[in-house]
Amino acid sequence: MSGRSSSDPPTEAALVRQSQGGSLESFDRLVHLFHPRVFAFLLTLTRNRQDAEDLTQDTFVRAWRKLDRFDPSRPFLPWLLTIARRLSISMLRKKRPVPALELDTIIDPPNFSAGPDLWRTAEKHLSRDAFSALWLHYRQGLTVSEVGGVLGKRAGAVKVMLHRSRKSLAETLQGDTPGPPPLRSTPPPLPSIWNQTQTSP
Amino acid sequence: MNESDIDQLLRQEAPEITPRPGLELRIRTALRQTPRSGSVIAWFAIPATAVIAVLMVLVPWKKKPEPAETVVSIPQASIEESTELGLNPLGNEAKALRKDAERTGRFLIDCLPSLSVSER
Repeated sequence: MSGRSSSDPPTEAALVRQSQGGSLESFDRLVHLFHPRVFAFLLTLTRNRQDAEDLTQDTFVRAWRKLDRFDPSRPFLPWLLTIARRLSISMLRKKRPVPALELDTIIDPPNFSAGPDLWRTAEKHLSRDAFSALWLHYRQGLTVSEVGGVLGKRAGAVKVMLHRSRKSLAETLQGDTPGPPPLRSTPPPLPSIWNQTQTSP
Repeated sequence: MNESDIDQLLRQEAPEITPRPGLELRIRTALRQTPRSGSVIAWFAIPATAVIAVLMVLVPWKKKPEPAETVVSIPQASIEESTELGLNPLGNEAKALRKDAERTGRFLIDCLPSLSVSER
């Protein structure tokens, strides 16, 4: 009754196993499933659409090369995001800082039904790591330990980071204080990743 | 507004970040130009590296004796006609050492009367 019929789409783990067996078609399906999420995560890190696209491609190419090392019993997305983050760090080290004016702001405008523009506020006030942690936890649906795995931090550190981020956002949105003090080791504010106007691809 | 409200809002609000439509095709194209796995390459790369390393070690090893031969040939040519000992530059020293050893042997034999008597 609960068994899958042959017409059901294969699960993520099945696709990974088939890919490990050499099936590029299965890996194509994984690319189809996960590339928007990898791209979105990389955009939060790089704040540059072109870089995020290049890194998304590099992430899947590296994942394909190293697929033998992946344990298919574990979720695939955190592993991909870990690769993506490492590649982005490597790229950001090599690359000279881009002037803010040259950075893209080409993101679909958020479709907020109600409430304040929370993600923009988060992006503006939080450090890169804190914003990435929020993004991974709330938007990508990763657990705290998975977020820690991606960001190279312990689960406890991620919990603290999320707690401080929420607290900081609450204080900011209350408007009682002009703005929360930046978290420790917070880099200078980055240009917004949200676009002001929708641009066609 | 407290933390739980923020938690709810973060879950409710859904900003969408969508890549360009061509990105997936671009990734697929790149994948088709990529070898399957590094391990396959390693099967060829590791033995090749090992062979190269062995060759690099062995080639200078074989060349080492060549200068030794040339060094030996030079004194042979110059001393060949002069004396018999010239064939071996250490011949005199060898003879002297041999004589010293014989003298020492005789002296020790003389110091041991019982042995010397029994032998005589």
